[in-house]
Amino acid sequence: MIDGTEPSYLRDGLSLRSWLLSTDHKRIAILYALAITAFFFIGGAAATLIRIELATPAGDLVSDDAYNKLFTAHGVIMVWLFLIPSIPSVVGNFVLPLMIGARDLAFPRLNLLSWYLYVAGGLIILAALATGGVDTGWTFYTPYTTMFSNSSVVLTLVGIFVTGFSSILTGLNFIVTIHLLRVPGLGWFRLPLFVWSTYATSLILVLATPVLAITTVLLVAERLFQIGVFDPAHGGDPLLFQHLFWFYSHPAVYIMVLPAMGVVSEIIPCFASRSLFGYRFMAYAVLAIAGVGFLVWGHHMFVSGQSPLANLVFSLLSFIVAVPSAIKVFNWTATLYKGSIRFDAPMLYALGFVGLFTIGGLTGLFLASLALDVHLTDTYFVVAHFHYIMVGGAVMAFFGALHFWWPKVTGRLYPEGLARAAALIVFFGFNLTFFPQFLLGYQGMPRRYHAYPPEYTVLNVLSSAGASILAVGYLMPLAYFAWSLWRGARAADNPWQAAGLEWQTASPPPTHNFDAPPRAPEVPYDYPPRPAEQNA
Amino acid sequence: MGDDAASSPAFTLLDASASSIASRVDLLFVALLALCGTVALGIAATIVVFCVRYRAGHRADRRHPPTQARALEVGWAVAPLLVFIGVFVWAAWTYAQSRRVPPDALAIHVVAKQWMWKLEHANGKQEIDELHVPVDRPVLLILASQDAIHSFFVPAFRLKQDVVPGRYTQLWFTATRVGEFRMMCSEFCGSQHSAMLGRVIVMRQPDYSRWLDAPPNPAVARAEPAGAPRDRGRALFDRLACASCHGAGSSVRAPRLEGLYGGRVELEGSDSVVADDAYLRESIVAPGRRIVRGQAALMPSYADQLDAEQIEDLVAYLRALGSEAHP
Amino acid sequence: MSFVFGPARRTVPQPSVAALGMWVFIASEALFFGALLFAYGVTRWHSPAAFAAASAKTDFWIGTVNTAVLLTSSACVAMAGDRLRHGTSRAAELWLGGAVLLGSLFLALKAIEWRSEWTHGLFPGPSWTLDGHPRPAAELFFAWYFVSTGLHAVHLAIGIAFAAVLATRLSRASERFEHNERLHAFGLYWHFVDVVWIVLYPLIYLVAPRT
Repeated sequence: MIDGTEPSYLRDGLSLRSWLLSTDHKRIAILYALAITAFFFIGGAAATLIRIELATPAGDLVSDDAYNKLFTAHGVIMVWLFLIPSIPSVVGNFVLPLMIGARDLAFPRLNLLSWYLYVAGGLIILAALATGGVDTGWTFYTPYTTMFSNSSVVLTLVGIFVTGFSSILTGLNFIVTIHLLRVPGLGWFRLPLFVWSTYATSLILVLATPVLAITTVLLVAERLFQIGVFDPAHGGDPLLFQHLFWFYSHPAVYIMVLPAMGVVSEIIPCFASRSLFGYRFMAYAVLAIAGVGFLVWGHHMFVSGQSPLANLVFSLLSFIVAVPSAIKVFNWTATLYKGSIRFDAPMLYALGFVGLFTIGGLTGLFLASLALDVHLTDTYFVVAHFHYIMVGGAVMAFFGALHFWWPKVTGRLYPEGLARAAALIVFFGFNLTFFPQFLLGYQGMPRRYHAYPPEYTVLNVLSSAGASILAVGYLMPLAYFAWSLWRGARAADNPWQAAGLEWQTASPPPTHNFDAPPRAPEVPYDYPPRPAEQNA
Repeated sequence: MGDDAASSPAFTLLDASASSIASRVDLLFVALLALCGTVALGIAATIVVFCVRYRAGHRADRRHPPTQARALEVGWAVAPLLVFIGVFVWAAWTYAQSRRVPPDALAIHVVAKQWMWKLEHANGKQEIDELHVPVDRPVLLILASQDAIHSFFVPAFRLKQDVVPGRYTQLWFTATRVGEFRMMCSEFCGSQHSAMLGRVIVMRQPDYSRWLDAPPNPAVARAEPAGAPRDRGRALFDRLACASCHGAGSSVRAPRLEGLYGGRVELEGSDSVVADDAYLRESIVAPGRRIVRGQAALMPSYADQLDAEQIEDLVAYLRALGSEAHP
Repeated sequence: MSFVFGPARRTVPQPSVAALGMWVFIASEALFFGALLFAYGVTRWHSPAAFAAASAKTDFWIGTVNTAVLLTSSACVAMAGDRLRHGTSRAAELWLGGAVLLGSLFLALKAIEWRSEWTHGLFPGPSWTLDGHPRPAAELFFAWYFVSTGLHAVHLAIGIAFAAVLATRLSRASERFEHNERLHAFGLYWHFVDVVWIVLYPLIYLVAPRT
């Protein structure tokens, strides 16, 4: 695991203590990566059990209460312990300071505190799972959560509360870093899109997560002291909970997808060897998604008893928020035009993202349509929609990022052939798992069903079959990345010939990142013109 | 409102399409599918073509790759926006139609509880997990929950409505096909959420009338009290001695309930409210929330003593009392 | 030991990292308390009379005195910042000490007020009543009251701790530049906690006209 002769951040202290007390953003990124990987596989184990249960109509693998705890565990772990921190805290932490020519984040000790808060919250949530689990669904609707559930609700909410502060502090750190620590000459419109995406994500982290924090406080108070805020018999309102919850949880999905979009905007220009198309619109689109994303939360509540007027407003705004995402898809496609395209694993993941995010985003239009949503909400159509975006989108981008920056982070190359195979297996397995769920949803199969009526059997069997293939695709990188750490070929500073300041320093970088402050590029995505003999 | 004859709706897709709104929803779905499918295939095809033509090592004209094209970029922002607004309007229009309750709709009261559906027709006949309705007549479901949030969903009707404790929600439909259709709970409500299934049985009008007048299913009759809701409500009213405060000659001088229903009530502060089902229900369950002007806040809550069906019965009785003064 | 919000080693020295960090933190706190205000607003809109009846039970005098105490403490913090920039660190330490004392006085008065409310049975719970009568929405007022003032008190206590630590360190002349930055950032936090109270005060004490 030790790299070549130059001193890098990996060799700068070899004890466990030097890692656990490090304020180096690169080491903290690796600490996050290890924790996130563990949580990903725990959440994935829950998903595996769910899909095995759903391969047959009868609820015969686990009891109904156990099933309810499984889907709740899957949701809670995947949302808060994997998707929200993954790209920002692993990729952002490592790459952001390098991309702007800085030595570290603005508040390095705060960064380490963020990791400890995340791990503490995660352990509290695992403790809740170990002490009987929680069966409310990751959405914790009241009054079921506060008055009827017999499970470890309070412990889970405390864990979520704690990880929330990790998010807020990370977002705060990124905002200040991007504003104040850019190398001289690196104006906003010379920044890589990943920086823009991280900035927009950080705005959401800082402004939306506190609402979640208060919501969990109120839930815990209601459950422990029966204060009545969500209980109609005490003058409270179950819908108040839904408004508070979704005010955070809708922007939360943009926390999950904006960094993924940033990653894709780095990978595609590199592997098409040309500049990103429509840079300014891409930057504005990212801010528009973050901003308008705060205004659409009511589309989760179209059949909740919310007023028809509110439904109209939220529906219209939900259509509007789709426009900047569409712009981004068009611009990524246009970036391929007149490029010189290589199909290494990062590019396969990035192209997979574009395809699957497009499908996921388009199905969002179905759900934004009021008359259709009345039929489709709370069915598997919604489950398919968000998995296309979260898994087909964000997870693919996360894997793309891991492969793209792997040489920079570790100084090693991963085996390209296996990586491409894994990417294709994931793409195929993913579609087989989740596409049938759109059909299941239109046919009326509700969510969170432990056992289902027999007419839904065939599509469920297909979906479970797909899940087994998807699992293989996710396990392969675990194996070959580990192999690469021990036996992978050494990487050069810039094995992909990518633009970006992070590639101007060694692979892996020294602790202080740059021996001398790097020069800001004149233009972002400064890819050289193609050699003449390549042209027709 | 129902535009189709009894057995042949205009448009079917996948599952049975059995309500007057279902064919419109299906049309919207197919149109959106065509639109989105075209866009998705178009983007996929473009990506594939570019990847093939511009793959590294393949000769192609790569001079001057464009980094921006303002007209194109504005165009592909504005065009989707206009299309989206068009889809929004279409879907919102269909939705608005699905929410406008026809005045002659047959009212059926539904109580959802963990983990079953209890339904009561206007003449007092009750059902559990089954809903008999006549074909081609609008039916209005008035939904209440005993405990957690549930959701009443009939995929064949393309309709769904959450059932929220503490308030009434409504769902109306006109069934357009005779037959049996699955009814399911679609809001997670606890252990047996996925067992909270039932069926909607759509019958021809003469069959429905016969069914309505027949005595109830013995199992239901054993489980449920007999009689009309208002009579059961009156029995509750007497058992709980409501008249001791609300009756004539009470020293407490609580508001009189005769003629109350449907009238306007002046509240503390400067508000007023119409005494409808929701207000009466709230007054029983959470009386201190809104107090009648000039009254002291003395009424206790009966939330712990009455379940949702009993509250329905009481409200039915109060409705009957009210209609004596407001015919 | 330096503060958690201290600046990183930077390639280009810029004076406002701590301040920008604090502004961003304040933005997140505004949303934190803002969600509570939303819950209050929705519940009060549904039940204005119940809220008025509940508010009438709060202790107007302690609330008003506390407001004056907190505003004065903010003036102390502002004076501390001014003295550090233009005078001696000793004067700044004393002004900070004043803020610590006043903040602690606020907390003490708050504790007395809470205790009084507890003994009058105003803490929400299954057996809650208002003067013996069930007023559900009024219970929600007090639920909101205890959550909001409790969170506010936690924020104030943290501020007091930081003020005390900051005061003891101001004498280190070698870190003069960082001290100005830190005191400025701290001042932003303290004033924000004050502003939160100013928003809460009318919502708690001034709902109904008092005779």
